[in-house]
Amino acid sequence: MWELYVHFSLLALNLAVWLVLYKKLDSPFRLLGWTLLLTALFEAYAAYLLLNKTRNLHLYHLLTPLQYVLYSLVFYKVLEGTIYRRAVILTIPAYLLVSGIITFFFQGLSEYNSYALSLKNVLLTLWVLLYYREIFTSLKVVELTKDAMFWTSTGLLFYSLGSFFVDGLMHYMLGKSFEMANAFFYISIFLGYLLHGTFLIAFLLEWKKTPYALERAKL
Amino acid sequence: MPDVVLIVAVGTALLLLLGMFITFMTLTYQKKRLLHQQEVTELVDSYQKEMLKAQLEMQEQTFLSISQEIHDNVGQVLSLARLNISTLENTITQAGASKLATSKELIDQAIQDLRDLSKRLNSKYVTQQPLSALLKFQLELIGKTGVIDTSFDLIGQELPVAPDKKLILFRIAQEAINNILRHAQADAIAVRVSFRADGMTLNISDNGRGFDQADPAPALLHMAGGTGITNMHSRAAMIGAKFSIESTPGAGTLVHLELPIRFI
Repeated sequence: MWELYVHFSLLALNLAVWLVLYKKLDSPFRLLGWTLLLTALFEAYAAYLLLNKTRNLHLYHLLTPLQYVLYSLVFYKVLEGTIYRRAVILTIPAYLLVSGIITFFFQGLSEYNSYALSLKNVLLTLWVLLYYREIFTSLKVVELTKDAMFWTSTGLLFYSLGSFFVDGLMHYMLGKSFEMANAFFYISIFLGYLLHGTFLIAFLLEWKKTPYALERAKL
Repeated sequence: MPDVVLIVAVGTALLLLLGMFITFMTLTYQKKRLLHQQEVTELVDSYQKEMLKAQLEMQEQTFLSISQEIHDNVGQVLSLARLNISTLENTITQAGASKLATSKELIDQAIQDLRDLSKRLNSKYVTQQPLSALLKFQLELIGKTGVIDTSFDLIGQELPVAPDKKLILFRIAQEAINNILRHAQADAIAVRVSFRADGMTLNISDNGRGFDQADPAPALLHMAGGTGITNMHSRAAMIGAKFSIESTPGAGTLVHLELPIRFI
């Protein structure tokens, strides 16, 4: 149970900072906050169902595509290259279609949606790498460790690659060994902490951003 | 159970590798960014130097044109006027002769002043003279007005300064002296040039009202119309000299310039 408390506390902390800073935030971070809010609502309901010993896997068939749409929009706002932006925006309807097909034909609502999750993780990893490529080419960011988007992307990279590894095996493990599935569950919990920890750092960095830095960011 | 340990170990190793990749990427980025910043700074510096050089060349060209105009045209006209006056000496009365002599003196004075002005403006002349001679000449001209006392000290054996650098040093000194005349309300100017084994220093001081260095904006405006001190700084930087100003309200101002031997 403790892991759920920590998970929801981190989410709540992120949402509190997001709400306080909402007017000051640039649009990518506003979108990031909406993603967190959506995640919090779905996961709270999922936790409620779990506590009532009801299956909650169907919720993730809806949450995963919605998360992908919002995260992709974050990168759509952040990336500057026209081709990259077009690629990001075009994958949104494509992903929704593919995840629908997966749900209807391969992994039903009562199953763990590992295919859709893995695809989401691969695509998000790709967007993160494109973002890294852009900042390396333009050298616009003065200090990477003080850049909120760098922390957001790094968190997403760890989470997506880690989850790709976990989710890819989770489906298999659930049918094979409860012990191993449980171990994987804790890895995914840790990855979630890492993700929300880096998001929190990103929001706090946005908080500390001076008006001068804000002006520079707009240039 | 061993499978769990193995998977967790592999997962942890992969995460650590990713962490190392991110750290390496961050460090590389900062290094690349620093290099880029240095390149940008160097480009800006070089652009500013080029701009200043072009400005100086234009200014010197203008000075040279004015100098030649004074020497060839105005000077000639005055010399002719003097010659004409000289021819009148035997044709006028006693009372008129005195006025004629005064007019001749005035024309002589005007011719001399114009020659001096022409020399000061002529960059070719400036680059041919030793720096000490140029500064002495400049101070003598000011001294002749009787408004302000001037003194000049040369310490050490004068080293030959490269002509372009000498010109810039002289223009800086002229700017500093002009500032004293216009704003300092001083009654004495002292110029000291020291040549040492490691370089040379130029000190220009006055006993005027000075200004508050803690308040640089009004000081800059007060001293040089907002651009004079900046120009002196830029010119000094262009030849590799260190330039500084020390001033206290009521206790005069010292303009200090230091040029290392390798830049002379």
